[in-house]
Amino acid sequence: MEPVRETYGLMPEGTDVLMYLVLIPFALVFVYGVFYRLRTIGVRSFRELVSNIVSGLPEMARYGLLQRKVVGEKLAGAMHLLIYSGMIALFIGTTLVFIDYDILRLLGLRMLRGDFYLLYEFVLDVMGLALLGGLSLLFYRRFIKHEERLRNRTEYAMVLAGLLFIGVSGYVLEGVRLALEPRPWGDWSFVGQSLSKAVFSSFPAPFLTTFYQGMWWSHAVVAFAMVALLPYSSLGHLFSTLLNIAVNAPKQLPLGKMNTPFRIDELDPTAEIKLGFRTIAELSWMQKLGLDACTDCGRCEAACPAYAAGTPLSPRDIVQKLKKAIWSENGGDRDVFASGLIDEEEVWACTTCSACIEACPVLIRPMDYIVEMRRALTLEGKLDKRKTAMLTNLSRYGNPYGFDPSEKQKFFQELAAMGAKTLDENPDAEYVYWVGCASIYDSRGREIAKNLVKILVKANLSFAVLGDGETCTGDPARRIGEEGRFQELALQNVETFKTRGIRKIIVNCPHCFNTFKKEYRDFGLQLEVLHHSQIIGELLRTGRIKPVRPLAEKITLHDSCYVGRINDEFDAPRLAVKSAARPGGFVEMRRVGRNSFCCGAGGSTYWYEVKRRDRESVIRLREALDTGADVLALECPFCMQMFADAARITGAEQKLKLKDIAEIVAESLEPS
Amino acid sequence: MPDVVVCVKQTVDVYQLKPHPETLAPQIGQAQWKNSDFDLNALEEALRIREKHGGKVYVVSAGHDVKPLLVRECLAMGADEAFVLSDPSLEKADGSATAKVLSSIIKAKIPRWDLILCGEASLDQNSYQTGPRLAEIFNVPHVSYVTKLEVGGGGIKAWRAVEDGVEVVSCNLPAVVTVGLEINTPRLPSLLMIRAAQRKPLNELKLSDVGLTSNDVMPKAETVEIKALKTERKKQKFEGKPEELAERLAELIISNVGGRR
Repeated sequence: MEPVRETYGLMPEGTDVLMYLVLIPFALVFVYGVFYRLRTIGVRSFRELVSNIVSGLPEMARYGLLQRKVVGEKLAGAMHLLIYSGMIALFIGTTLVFIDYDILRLLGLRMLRGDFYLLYEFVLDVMGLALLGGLSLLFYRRFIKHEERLRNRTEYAMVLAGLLFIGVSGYVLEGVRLALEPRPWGDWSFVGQSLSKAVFSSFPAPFLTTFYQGMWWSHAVVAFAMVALLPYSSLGHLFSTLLNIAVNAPKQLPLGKMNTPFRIDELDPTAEIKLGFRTIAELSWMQKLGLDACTDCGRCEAACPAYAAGTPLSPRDIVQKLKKAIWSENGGDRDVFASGLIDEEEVWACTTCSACIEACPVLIRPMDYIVEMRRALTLEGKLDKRKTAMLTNLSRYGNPYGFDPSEKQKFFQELAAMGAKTLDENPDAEYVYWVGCASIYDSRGREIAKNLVKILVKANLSFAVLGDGETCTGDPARRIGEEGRFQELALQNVETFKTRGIRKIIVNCPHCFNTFKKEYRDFGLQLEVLHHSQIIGELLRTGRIKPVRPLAEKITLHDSCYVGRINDEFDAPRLAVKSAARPGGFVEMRRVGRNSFCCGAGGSTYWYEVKRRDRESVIRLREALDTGADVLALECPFCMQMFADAARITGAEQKLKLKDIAEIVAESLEPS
Repeated sequence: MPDVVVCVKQTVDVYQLKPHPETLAPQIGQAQWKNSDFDLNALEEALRIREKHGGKVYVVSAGHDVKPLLVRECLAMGADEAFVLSDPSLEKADGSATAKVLSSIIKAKIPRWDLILCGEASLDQNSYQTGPRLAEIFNVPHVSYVTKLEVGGGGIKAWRAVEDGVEVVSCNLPAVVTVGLEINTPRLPSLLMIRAAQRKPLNELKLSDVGLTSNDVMPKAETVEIKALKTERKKQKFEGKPEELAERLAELIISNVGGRR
């Protein structure tokens, strides 16, 4: 007797027809749900949707089907991969049965027979175990380990119960079937066979037959119900995430690059003024798709420094609350701030470190929504005193501190005495060293600039400084949402660079670095921008500077957001620090590279206060102390300020010295 | 729906003023101009009144060289219309002359108003005169040094910061109110709003438009000279243990300034 799939084997005659009749209402509910969901999100044109999906197919394959970012976390990744592959396999299995029974059989053919059928039974039994294994991990994470970021909602528990029932009942059906009608090839269905022998063989046949039929129908109906509810429940993420990835991923700007909604020099003064959003209705369907794709997994929240520091912000809450507003009645037209949905403090707490973007497994960008809401608030100008002061300072004095720009001269004279000529004196210089406000006006920051000049002079690099021509890059204005004032400064700087023929610049501030490198492109400026870690790394690699005296202390390094995660430079700072460290004198922190943790100064948050329980800088400083290092190497003048405060507060000033990488390298170049 | 007139003065940015190293005269040419801080508080308050009760907000400004860009900032904050008057004869205007010009503008151009809001003083001259003088000219009540203001029922209720506490007073409209920095944080018009404010009416006037001649706006007081105060510090240095130093310091403070231990 050849093994063959006995579809409807133990079911009464006509079950197949009845099943399809039962399926119809469920299918209708499903189809209606899909359209309802797409319509609510604002998809108006099916063609537009499809063409967007097609252009994002490679990303959809990579991040959706292959789960590139989902598996980034071990436990959660394994859990999801098991459930995901189990469900897909079982779905394919059921589809094969449909093809085999409802199509091929009518043509007098069978597919699920012979060796192929045996393999089919075996693989599905394995994948069923994968599903149950994944669901067990899910249960463990939610109800035993109680992972803080996982929220328990009735709906989530229902989904778990439903999936669990489908998985278990499948095996039960198999076991009962093999108990009633043992087959010589039954061992291929090894889980069902074991159940059959261990449990069901002792029951009387008539009972088993009735039980089987009841179980068969409940298995089918629960499965249909899950499909029908798919568009209405969190399970919908299996479509919504793929849609978001396909539609939005190809259009996403590189990290650190904000969109340029207008050019102030090309703006029609009579045009309608709109910037950012205050209601859901102002979002495009693509932006809403991003919100809709959120699975409430909480990875962004777990990565968010502002959340860890106990500010009102959770990137997950932002997305979830906006998502909820899409679905609530008239939610789309309500002002997110006036209605109390979002507290202004939430959006001000964001340091724009981009950790939430990095963390999201389905490529949602919580930070982008936050920044767009900031833009709407800033447009109206209802800002507190410190934000107002910073922006006024930028406009009036060209620096966020509000120092008289004439203060610059004194410091540039000091640099000149060290060998840093101005571009006027040295017009042929290959590089321009853009010192940046934090290293011009702040006394601690000045030390960084002086040490960098020391290195550049020692390496005999052809460079000059701008002196009076320096002003703010506009970064704090752009991040706080004041696009106009940012552009005013950007256009002024672009003009300076163009008229003076500047092509290559060196900066020691990651915020200047990112702004020049990424933001100024929209204003017609392509510069070769080097962060000082990069030029120092280059000088070390080419032997133009040679460390002669390694530091005695043990050193650890804090990756800044805007050089590290956002601009992918992790090696150069390490090369610089390691070159100056003694053998074995460099240690890494727990969170490094892309997972680094913001000091709390980014996104303009340096310039104002947000109510909080803890400080990002203190949390991070503790991590640095945990390494046992004596020196914390930094690559950003704002990180320097933040950690200096943190060290003062925690009394760690003696235990851990804060040094910029320029200071460390300069120190190692001096013979003792 | 009260209509509110806000008087805004443009002054030099006194924080940028540096005395000439020899003459000690402030180098006004080097400093930028801005709207006087207190006046922006007055404008912010007017806008909040409008948000709550409706009505119109007018800005009036007078000076020897009123800068349209700064007036645009006021319009960008939300004022509906601005009337500005520039005349060289106003370069040395004092509170009396300013009040006269402002009242003439209001009489000529804003026939109906319920409340005039002013900063309690100006950033540069700090003479606290213009508001009360306006009230005298219009013969309406005035409330000065206001740190909280409520409008309703045809009148106002105002909280005044006076030396020995807070005085709460009320009066009927029309009235003149001068406000201090504590009353609110003025909104900062974004650059986009400033550009958009080009669409709002900014009326530039001459003295003759409001029925005045330069003789009418002669200052009552004459400014003879403005000089920076130069104070030499004693530059004394003490050394020793912190406890002893604290002791010495305490003695010095008591002997020089007074007070008790």
